[in-house]
Amino acid sequence: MTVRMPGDEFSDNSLLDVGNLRVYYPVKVPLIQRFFQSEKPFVHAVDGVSFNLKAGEIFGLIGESGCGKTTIGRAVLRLVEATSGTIRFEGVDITHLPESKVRPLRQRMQIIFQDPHASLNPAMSIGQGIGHPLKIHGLAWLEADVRKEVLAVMREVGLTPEEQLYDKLPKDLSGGQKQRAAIARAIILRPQLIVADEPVAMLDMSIRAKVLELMLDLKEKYHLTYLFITHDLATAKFLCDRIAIMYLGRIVETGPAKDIYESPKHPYTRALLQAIPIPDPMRRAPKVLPKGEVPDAIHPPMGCRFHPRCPAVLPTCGWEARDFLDYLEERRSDPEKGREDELILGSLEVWKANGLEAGRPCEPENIAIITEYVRSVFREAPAPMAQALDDIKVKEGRIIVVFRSPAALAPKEVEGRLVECLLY
Amino acid sequence: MTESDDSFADLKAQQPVLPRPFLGRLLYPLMENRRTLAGVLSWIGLGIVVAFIVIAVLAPILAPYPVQGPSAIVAPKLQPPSLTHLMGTDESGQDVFSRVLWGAQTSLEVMAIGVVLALAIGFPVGLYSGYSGGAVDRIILLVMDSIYAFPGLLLALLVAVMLGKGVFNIGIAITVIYIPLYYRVTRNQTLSIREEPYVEAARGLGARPWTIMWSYIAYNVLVTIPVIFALSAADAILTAAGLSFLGLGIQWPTPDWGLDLSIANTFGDIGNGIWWTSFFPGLMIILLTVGLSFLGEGLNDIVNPLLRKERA
Amino acid sequence: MLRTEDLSVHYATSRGYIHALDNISLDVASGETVGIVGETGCGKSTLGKAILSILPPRTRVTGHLLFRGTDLNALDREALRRLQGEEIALIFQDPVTRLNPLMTIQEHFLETIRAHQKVSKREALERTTAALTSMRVPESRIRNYPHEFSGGMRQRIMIALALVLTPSLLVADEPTTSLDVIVEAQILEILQDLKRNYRMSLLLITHNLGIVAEVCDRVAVLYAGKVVELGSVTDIFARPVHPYTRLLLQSIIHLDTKELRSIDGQPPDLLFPPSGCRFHPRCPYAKPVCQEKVPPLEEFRPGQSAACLFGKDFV
Repeated sequence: MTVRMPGDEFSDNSLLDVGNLRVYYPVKVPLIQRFFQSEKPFVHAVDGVSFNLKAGEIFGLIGESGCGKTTIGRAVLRLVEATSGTIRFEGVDITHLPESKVRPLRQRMQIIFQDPHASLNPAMSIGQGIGHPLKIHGLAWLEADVRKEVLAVMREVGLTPEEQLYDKLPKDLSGGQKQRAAIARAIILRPQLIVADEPVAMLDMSIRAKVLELMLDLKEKYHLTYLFITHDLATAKFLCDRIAIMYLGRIVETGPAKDIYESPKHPYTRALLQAIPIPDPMRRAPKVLPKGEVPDAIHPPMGCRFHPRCPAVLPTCGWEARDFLDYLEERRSDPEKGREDELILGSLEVWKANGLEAGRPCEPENIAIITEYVRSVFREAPAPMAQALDDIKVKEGRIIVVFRSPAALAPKEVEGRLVECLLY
Repeated sequence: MTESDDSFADLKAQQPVLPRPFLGRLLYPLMENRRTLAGVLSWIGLGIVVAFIVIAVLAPILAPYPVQGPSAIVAPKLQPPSLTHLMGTDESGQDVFSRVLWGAQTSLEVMAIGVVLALAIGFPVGLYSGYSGGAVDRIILLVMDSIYAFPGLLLALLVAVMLGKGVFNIGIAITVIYIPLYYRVTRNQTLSIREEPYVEAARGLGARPWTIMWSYIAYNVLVTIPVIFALSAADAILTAAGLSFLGLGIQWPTPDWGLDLSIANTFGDIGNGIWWTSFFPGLMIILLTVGLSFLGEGLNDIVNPLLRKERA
Repeated sequence: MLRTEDLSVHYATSRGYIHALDNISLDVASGETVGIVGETGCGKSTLGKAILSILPPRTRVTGHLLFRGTDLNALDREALRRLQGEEIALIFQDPVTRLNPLMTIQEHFLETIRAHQKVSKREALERTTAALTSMRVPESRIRNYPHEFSGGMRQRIMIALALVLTPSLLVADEPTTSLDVIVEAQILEILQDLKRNYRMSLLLITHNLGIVAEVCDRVAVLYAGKVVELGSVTDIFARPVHPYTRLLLQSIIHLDTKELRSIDGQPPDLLFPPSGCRFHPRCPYAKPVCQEKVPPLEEFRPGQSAACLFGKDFV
């Protein structure tokens, strides 16, 4: 189901409409191991993402590595197959279109890659590479025609003197020039939509501005729409009209860029904004950083995926067995607590996590001691986790710690944008 | 219109533009590295190979005496090297020097058919296999690996026995052995290049699979081929010589180094103190093999670090 | 602690000499954090490598590189090896390629410790766990292989490995470039803690001016192999003198950027560097004399020097 923004018209007005997109990659598991596992593991790269792009806007998809933004960029262009969900381009559902029908569509949607040194074919000269789309789509065959078009577009992107650079190989050009060539190649067909995947991340700072300026100029001239994928919040703030912040395969906050930067609502957005190093030594401020790192996308955390790291977490955010075990592991670094834990609770390996339940085998005579100790551990634990504890029960010779089920999570409208967080 | 960010455009523009991408990529590193060990080796190797090609082509002109038919018997048998017969004469009275020169032609004929054909078959199949992946790739790989698993000479022997005599058939036997090699190398290179961003970019442009395979992947795989080509050619020379030594394929009186060695061996020349009938053909085999090896190894040292650097 | 005097590094290639570094003079005091900033091709990585004497062969190094008074270029290999690791340690940009994928973390540490000090295995193990826990790496994973860790963890392991022998100088070459912004902030916090708790000198080489502003005490700006400006971090950011520094600072895109600014042209080819001031082809204030005279590093304010003939116009 497509989530709508307040004041949205019908989704048919959007250039691009993504509904509940999921992209899962199978994890390569050796044959033997597959016999022992009941379910096939998947990397949940994109796990239920919905947004839309209006013609003429710059939409930023922002997040750290592994959040799925790059995958979305590819999926939208059908370079990667969607596992489920819908993608509508210019009103047409292209999600499961056969490759032969997608190819002509590629004239209208193009991509600019992150690495300028690797996105140009080293075997083709610059002119050949930029002009190749014309030949692919049958817009020009004669060398003379192609050359004319290419030289014109090279002038537009600032790859001058175009006559000399036409015959050069990519390795003779600088990073900034190569990226311009990639842009030239993308716009020579006058597409409607351009997916820009970190287009300036690998360029020097003093050249970034030039390339971004170029992209803005071209947008004005050709009425382009950009899906701007980046991890650089500063660039996104400058460039984008609307943005969506992603974390581990889901969008956590989306709305007008200005609003979000002024008052970020989602704790992850706030953390991201805080973490950016400010190039002004007078403004060094202590930061509240989320602890730990982005967990792996094969078994994402339950409930809100950010809950294990969120500084503003609630008891209903999705506490689960794994969090309990992680907490136990943390306690081990303290020598005193660690020793006591080891003594009474045993080594970490005997505990098994299964969704909301964490258990370990246990003899009847030890039940009372362990139960009491676990309760004391919870008393020392951070409040939200402690409050999420439902029960400690005993079943079939195992002592089991059970957490409460998390509250349902859905995007809510907050001050003109959509936020997926239980705080609201 | 945004202005160019290259204020050195005019200087850069003066740098020479290389001819065609592929040839340029090959010659440029050779020139660049002429002082390194690898470069020197390559140049020596190239020189030797070119010399042999010239000999092969000009054999009819260079050879002082004819080599086949009754007119070839020009002198008494088994004369040691002298001014009239630079390398002496063999058992039938033919001039060894002329036979050796013509032998180059035979060898290169076998090579041309054998290795070139193997490349012509192995390369496209490898490309297709590597790009398609999945079941198709697995099946072809299985077939090729089975052939590859066979000891080369043995397989060539079998093929040669099946096909019968003649230079052409020896060539085919060589082809069969080397197809899996070219297939493998091409396939592996294709597999790694397939993951490069510029191939994905090609898909993003809307290119058809065959266009991608040819314009984007093949060209970049081709760079690694000369090395394999040179090294397998060296190996092929030895294999061909071995086959004719064993009496397969090339028959008397066709001039061929392996054959001449075989005859010298059969007649027990060395035992009788007649060294020139085996020494010279053997020397040619070694020289050509070494030349090709130098070229291959030298190219390898030059091209590989280049490939790695370009990715940085 | 560390001082370079007229350090020059030239790489020999088939096309000529690449003048990677030209007469670099700077110093790092004990307990100080100095940032080396520059863009691609400015020579900052070369400087890091030169300090650790890990330059590739066929490289000409002239000038002095003094560590606590000892000239590193004059030491023999064994003495140098002992110095590396014990006194000077290095952390790189991408630990993936720097950690041996065939050795467990524990083995990395034990090998490093015992290569430099004669301690029992038990003691080495204790020091390992102490180092790792201080970096918040769980002890239970000590027998994992590098590829089983995430990028941020690996960087922390590298830092722990660098610190286990308590060096007095840590050289960090783009330590956070390949990391996400939150992990980067975490690592920077760690580096700042180290500064406070261990009084360690840190040489931070990077192109990211943001992290320099967060962590460094003093900064050296490099361009095309030369130091163009040197001074305290507050002076450099608030009152830059050299035109390159000013333009570079203006071109940074940060949260308050209102306008995009860039520098025309591109960094010069170090095979044939421009005559005179190497920045003159791109400098909007260049005058004819800039093409002829090589500007020396002059002090324009106490503690702040720049290599510009017209520096005092910009003060």
